[in-house]
Amino acid sequence: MAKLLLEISQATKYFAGLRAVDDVNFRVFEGQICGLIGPNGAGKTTLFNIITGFLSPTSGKVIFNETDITGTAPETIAKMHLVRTFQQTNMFSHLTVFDNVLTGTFLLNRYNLWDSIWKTKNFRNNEDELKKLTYQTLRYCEMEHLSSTRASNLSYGNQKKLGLAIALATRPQLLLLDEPAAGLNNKETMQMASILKKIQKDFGITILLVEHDLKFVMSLCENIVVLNHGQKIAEGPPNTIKEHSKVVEVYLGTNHQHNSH
Amino acid sequence: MNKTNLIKALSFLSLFSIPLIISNPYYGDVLIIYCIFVIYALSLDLLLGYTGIISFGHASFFGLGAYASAIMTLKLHLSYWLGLLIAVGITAVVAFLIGSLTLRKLKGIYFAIVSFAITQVFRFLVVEWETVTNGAAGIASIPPPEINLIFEKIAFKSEQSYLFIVIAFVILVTLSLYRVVNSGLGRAFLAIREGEDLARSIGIDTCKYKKIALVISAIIAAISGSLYGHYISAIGPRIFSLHYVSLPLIIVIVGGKGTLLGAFIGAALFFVLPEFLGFKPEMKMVIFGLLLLMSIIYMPDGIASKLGQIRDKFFVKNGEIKNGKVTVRN
Ligand SMILES: Nc1ncnc2c1ncn2[C@@H]1O[C@H](COP(=O)(O)OP(=O)(O)OP(=O)(O)O)[C@@H](O)[C@H]1O
Ligand SMILES: [Mg+2]
Repeated sequence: MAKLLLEISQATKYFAGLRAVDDVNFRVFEGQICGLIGPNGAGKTTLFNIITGFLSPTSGKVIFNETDITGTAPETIAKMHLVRTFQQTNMFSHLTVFDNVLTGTFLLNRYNLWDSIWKTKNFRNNEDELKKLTYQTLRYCEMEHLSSTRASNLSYGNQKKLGLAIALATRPQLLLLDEPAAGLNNKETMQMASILKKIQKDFGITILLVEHDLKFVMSLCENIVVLNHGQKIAEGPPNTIKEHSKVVEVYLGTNHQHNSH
Repeated sequence: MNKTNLIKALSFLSLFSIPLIISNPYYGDVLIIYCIFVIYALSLDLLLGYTGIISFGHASFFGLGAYASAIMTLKLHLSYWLGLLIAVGITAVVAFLIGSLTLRKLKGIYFAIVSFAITQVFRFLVVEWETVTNGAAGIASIPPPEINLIFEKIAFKSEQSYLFIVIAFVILVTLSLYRVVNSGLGRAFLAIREGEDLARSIGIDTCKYKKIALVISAIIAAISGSLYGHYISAIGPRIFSLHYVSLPLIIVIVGGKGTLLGAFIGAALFFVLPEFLGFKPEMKMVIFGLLLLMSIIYMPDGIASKLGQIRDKFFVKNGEIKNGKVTVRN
């Protein structure tokens, strides 16, 4: 059995009476690609925000690598190598693609103010390393030809990829991706899927992703958690989820129209 | 030292020939004021241009630097250099305290308003604390910096000699800032400007780095304030006024924020150009108001950014990767 990496236990978040996340439990094991699905407003992003410290849960716990990280600041959680991307495209708009990803290497900085002012050997070596890593990451995400383009001038699909590249540059252990394929065309979606598979295989990065494109999720994920109205209604491998009565009901049945907006 | 470094070093050295060429004290005066405000504007650019923190209170640090070093030299009879060091230290501590109290809770315009309120607190304090600050009358006959050689004292009294000092500080500050903004620290500042949530998600403690930006910026503002006080030799509570708040803002916004170069361009427009065109002081404000308006409409990112765009259009092509080597454009 693979090592337990992330454990969500009884996570609950109320927004002024609304139960956005309601007593959710699940686990993510090292090396897995896990999916978190559910209709609009099911609480997926809220759960991500709880895990990564952007929101404190009303109750419940988040354990990462045997450490209780409930309510810890996002930057501290990132330092523990748990890194997330955002549902809305999120990048450093005015910087070039290269500088965006280079900024993502922030935690790998090994020099101080003095080193940078005097451009010491330590500074130069470390910067060279970070620039190499940036270049590798860009190549990995098939974006190296765009490296001197301003992020804001990228196409939507490339902006999504850039978001992933920035997160990847931090060298995460667990990567949380909020709708990495949303708004992508078929070709881009397939490219995204192959990049994700590659980073899992080559770097051993564990991935938990939220996605509406079921084909994408089913093809990538070993384990899928389904949320509806903040509650977990099902969990299991793609085949079980596909046939699960509650899931079918939520996605195809009467609830569907009620939930989407 | 390799060839390019030698060329760089020589070109910086050559800047020191400026005071030798300019013997006319009037032009010397214009250039000294120019250099001082370049430093002041550079300090704001780090905060506004790079970190995205809007401050209407930078005069607090400018004024504090000027007052503290004036008091150190005049009342405590310390040497200018020690006085400057202490003034910078005091300002750094004050900036750290202000940052700790305000930056976590206050964002955007709220920080700007509070930072302006803080300048008025300083103004009130220097008016009230008469025994030390001479109150509303201000401090006069602030001595010029001196260097104590074994044989004699050299006082930087003349415009020509003072110009040496301010040029040295312009070079020191510009180089240090250039290195800072092109390091991991500078990238953290830019990340904060571009989006705090994303910055936090990649491990940047935004609160801490905003504080660091504020302290570095305040230190540089204090240096410019001190140079200012010891040059014009008299300062008063007016140094905390809207005038000194708005000057660096206008310079950085018109010149181009987040570029460093913008401070040089903006300050030249404000302090050098009018002198050559022979404007009256009142006219200067009017003309500059118009300039500000026009630049905000036609060049919202400032002149330096516009120049950068023009350069990119003509000289740089997109996607520069040759043989696996990435050329990064800043
Ligand atoms: N900060 C907030 N304050 C109040 N309500 C919120 C807040 N954030 C989310 N909600 C509500 O919580 C519920 C869950 O939202 P969430 O964004 O987590 O859904 P989601 O599953 O990510 O949906 P989508 O698929 O549309 O992204 C929604 O009803 C939403 O309106
Ligand atoms: Mg969402």
